[in-house]
Amino acid sequence: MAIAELNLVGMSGQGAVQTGEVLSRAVADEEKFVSMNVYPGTRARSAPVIIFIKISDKPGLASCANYNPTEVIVFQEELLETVRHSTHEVVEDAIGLMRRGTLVVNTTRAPQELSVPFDFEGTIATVDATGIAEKYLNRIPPPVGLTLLGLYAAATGRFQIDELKPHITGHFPGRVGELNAQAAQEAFEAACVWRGATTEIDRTPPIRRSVNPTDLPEFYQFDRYDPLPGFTQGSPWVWRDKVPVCVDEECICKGLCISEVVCPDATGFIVREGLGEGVQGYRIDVDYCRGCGLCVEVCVGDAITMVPENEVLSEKPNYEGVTVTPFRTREKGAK
Amino acid sequence: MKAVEANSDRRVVLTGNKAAAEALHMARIKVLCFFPIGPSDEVGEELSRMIGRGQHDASIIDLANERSVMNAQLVATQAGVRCSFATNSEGLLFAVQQLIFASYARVPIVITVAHRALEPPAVVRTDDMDTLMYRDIHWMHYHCENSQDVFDTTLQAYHVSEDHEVLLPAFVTYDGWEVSHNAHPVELPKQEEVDEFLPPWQLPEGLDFLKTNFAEYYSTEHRMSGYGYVDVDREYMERRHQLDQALNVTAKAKVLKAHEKYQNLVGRGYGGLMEPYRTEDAEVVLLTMGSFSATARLAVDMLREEGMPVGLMKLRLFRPFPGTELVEAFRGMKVIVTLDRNVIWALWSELRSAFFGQPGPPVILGRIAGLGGRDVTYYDIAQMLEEGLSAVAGKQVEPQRWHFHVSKSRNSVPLPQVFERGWNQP
Repeated sequence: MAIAELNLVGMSGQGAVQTGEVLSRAVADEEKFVSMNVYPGTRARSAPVIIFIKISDKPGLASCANYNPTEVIVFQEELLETVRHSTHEVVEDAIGLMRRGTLVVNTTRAPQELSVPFDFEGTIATVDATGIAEKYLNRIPPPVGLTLLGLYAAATGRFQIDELKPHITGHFPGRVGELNAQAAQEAFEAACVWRGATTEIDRTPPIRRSVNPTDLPEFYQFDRYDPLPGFTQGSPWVWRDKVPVCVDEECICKGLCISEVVCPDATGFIVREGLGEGVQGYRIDVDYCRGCGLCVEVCVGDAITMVPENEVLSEKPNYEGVTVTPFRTREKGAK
Repeated sequence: MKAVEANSDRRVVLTGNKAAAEALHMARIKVLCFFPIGPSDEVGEELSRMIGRGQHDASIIDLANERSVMNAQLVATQAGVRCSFATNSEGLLFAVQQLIFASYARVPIVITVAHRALEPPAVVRTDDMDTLMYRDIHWMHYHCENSQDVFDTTLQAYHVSEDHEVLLPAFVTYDGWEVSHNAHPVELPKQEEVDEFLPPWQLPEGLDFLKTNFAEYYSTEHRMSGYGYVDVDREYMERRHQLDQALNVTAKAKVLKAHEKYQNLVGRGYGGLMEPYRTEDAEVVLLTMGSFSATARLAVDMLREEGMPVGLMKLRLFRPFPGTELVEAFRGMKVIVTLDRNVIWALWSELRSAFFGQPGPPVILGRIAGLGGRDVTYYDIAQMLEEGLSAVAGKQVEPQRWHFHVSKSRNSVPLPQVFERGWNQP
């Protein structure tokens, strides 16, 4: 009874569940028994989603989480930070309990440059899956999961890339499947694999600064939860690279974008003053925006566009202390 | 691609929801009653995808809410059409009046339920409370362990419910996320085998509502005869008694028969009402149902390797509760540990009722764990079994306990070798 444990750690919307299913099919093809268990997060986009996969030669696999993972696929490099800062227990366990095996990470960096937040021995493989997925699939957030399977195939050699591709096209018939298969192929070819890697963590105790809520301006004294690398550790939503921007003249509906059924964190608020008669607009509180892009999808009047963060933010918010509201819309009339 | 292609190789990887959809497809349902609610929405979505692709021939009825949809399901079944509906938690709460109607009117509907904890708060993950709160309204409750179990049980549920001596509605339940989104290999039988096992649903004689003489049907006499209409204390009590007998006597026998028939056809079985695992010469047995059983098997294996006499009894049916069968199966065992995923101590109390008045009953320890989808590992279950063993040794053990902790390792004994080795490092 040898059970292998594999974790996929991603954010919701990145295709973790579909990736798990494709991977399960590919593994089951080798006459193995496979069990895929989903940790669904908090049902919001950009909440963490973890897929626990167990592989065995015998039927009857447990449906609990994995606590001895030997292979981990991390969909976003920043998720590794959750281990270092102990911000999300389930994510932390899914990655941080690993000590050896194969670590597959989506990052622009080479495996040697990666800062692994635990003592690790084995293979580290990286590729810029976000870039590849964006190239083939125009969708926010980029669905990197199936792309990463190409890297996984290169890193482990568990199955050939040619064996994998029919499963992708079988799971997503038509053009979507083909594009995903191409992305996986490109990731397979561009894979950076470091075998025999050994990393050790820096054991100096981290300096943790915390924000005293009473120091914040009144606007920020809400009772907000902070599930991912927090306030004190750089951007609250490390996953985000674009933020929504609303052009007031195009805004015609009554705020579907910021309603609580759309916006995962209800980050928007209405602005009526100073916009002319009958015109209203919405501002996004970028401190809490995850950049999920749902508001763009539901926008009736083409008012909202996703703009790279560094273009639109007047200055990087100072997350270590008092925060300013750093939004700035485009000038009126500009498209 | 060989595992994905339908009809060529019948071993496919399916999530629990997709396995349910596949079973409903092979059961040739004619009406898909659909109102989405997670985590069981995938059943209806998968079936409507099949209908859209032309693989399956059925009409979709999607109405404003679960209550209307379930009314449609009741009416369609009364008209002699097999149909399906998948819902859970709040959806079932909305349709509770229809649930009670269905059993009294003896409409053999089957509802697929992927458990989800009841709100508030908005818990997305699983516990059993959403169907167990309907344990006393004469529905059959099946609890499934994995996708394969879901597939087989759905077919068997239709077979039993539509039997003219049973005519009872049934829940086919499985844990949300942990089974509903848990992908497992499933061996699918051939369509001919399913057709042989599950012929089209035939209305009993005299129950064809489409050929009803409505003058007679709406006459006072008919309306006073029960079946959901006005009854001025003429037959109500008799019909309730019939219902009780149908559930607790007839259905129990029919479940065993259906299971045997299915096993002969397909070559795969789960032991009818319950499935023992390594219970021979066991002193401590864990009684549980649903996805816990899969985890518990590993725990039992782990302890058996260390020479501890432990076993597992997986309950397939909560209603009808196989009390006398369990008493028979547990004869000679010293401690039974029940593991519930609900706050009403369902298994614990039912088992104690069954043992009441029996000579030399075992010690029955109640444990509640995994509420709201909290993880339960094999270390947790091993700990519960070890508590049972210490009770055998005469130590004082809490009779009822809520197990909150998630054990990620087992410190008392070294880890089995299997966990030390990676699967790519033979």
